[in-house]
Amino acid sequence: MISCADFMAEIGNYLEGDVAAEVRLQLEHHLAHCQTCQVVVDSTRKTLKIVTDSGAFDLPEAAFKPITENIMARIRSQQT
Amino acid sequence: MSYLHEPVLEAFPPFELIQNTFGFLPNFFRAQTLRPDLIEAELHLIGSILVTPGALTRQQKEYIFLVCSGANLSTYCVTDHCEIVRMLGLQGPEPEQIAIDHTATNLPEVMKALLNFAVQLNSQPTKLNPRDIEELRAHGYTDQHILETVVMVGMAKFANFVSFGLGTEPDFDSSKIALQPAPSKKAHLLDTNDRPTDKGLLLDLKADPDAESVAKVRSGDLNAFEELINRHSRRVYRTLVGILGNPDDARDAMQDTFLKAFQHLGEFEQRAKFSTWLVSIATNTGLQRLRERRHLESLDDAGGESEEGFRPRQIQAWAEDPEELYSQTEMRALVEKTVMKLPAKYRVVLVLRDMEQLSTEEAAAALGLGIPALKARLLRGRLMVREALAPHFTKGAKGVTL
Repeated sequence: MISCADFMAEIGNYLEGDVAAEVRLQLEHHLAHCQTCQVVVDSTRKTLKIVTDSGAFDLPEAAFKPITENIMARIRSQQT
Repeated sequence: MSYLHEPVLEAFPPFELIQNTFGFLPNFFRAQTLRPDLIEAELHLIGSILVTPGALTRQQKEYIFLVCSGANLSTYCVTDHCEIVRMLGLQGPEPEQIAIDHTATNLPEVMKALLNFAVQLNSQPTKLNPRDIEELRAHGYTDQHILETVVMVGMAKFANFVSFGLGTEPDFDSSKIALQPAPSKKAHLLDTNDRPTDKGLLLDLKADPDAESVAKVRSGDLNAFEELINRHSRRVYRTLVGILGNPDDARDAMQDTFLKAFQHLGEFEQRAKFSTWLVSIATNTGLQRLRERRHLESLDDAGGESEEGFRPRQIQAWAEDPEELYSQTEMRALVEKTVMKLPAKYRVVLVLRDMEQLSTEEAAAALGLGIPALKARLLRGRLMVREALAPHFTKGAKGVTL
């Protein structure tokens, strides 16, 4: 029977679906009996989705117009 | 090799590309040489549907292709794509096992749900109903995932039936592929440089949507470079603001990034996609600036604290659908704030993998890190974000002020 610490050591690979069948069986056996690890797995999956879906740090293309113009001006001046 | 007459053709660019990629002309294409224009169109189709990154990962798409080809008993497609899955170095069960019966593999349930759907659409298309779509949504798949899945199933059927009709015999052999890139010519997509990161690009047939613009810039067309900036400014900015943590620095660094890209375009050898190459320049530019800042925490303390043994503290169950609890604006602000609080070495990895959607290999190459180190930092970063977000998303947390 594996411990929560053992489970946490493998959680990264487990979430990526990257563990051998045998290990996976042990992890899932642990998971079936351990509410804490269930919560960690569930909330980590949700975290990932939240981060990916958040649109964090995104700006509309138009916001970059002055920067683009500046870059192009510098490039054009170097070319001539 | 197949049922039909196969005329020998003179140099035809798609053949050269295939030859340079696989080292030989697969029977699937060889059998269609009466109409080279069809082959070219199919290469575009494969490039857009299978190779160009979308919502689904390459792995998900290859697996969809395998389960459909398995259900349709297409020996050619199963054999060849099992080899492709191995060449791509995709981690997981043996591909043959997936093609035969994915339900018996140790794939995660989420992946199995996707493949169940693909097999159902493939084998019992008239029985598909809205509940099947709901089932996918319940597993976290978005409409874009679902669309790409449906189109992948269509493409698998196309390939399966064309190869049946033409009687193509399996011909893929990874040893052949590794040994026979055209020796005299410099291969486009296969490089002698054998970094592991090149592996995933081996099959990047015509996949780079920027190739044409890059070629134009090289022949002196500066407007084409402006197009490239417009196409990638958001991505570069997101990467930089994620690394540097403030919009002004990010704008400055963005300018440096594009200027460097312009100066070094001659060194870009299309062994990676232009966008990936650009993000790696942005990453390096950002990291360099970060190192110049005195007060900054180290990015390189490889020893330091152990990456393992992270103990979760927040262990209350989360709401079923946490994203329902707050508005899009609130979610975005919360994620930005949380990510910015991460130590830089975790933040950088998280930004590249989870926001810019680089593959593990691409992110590792951009940061000059080994794959195990990258994976460890990514996990730690994700778990730290989880801790920070938890108070906002546990059951009954609705209304917590952000």
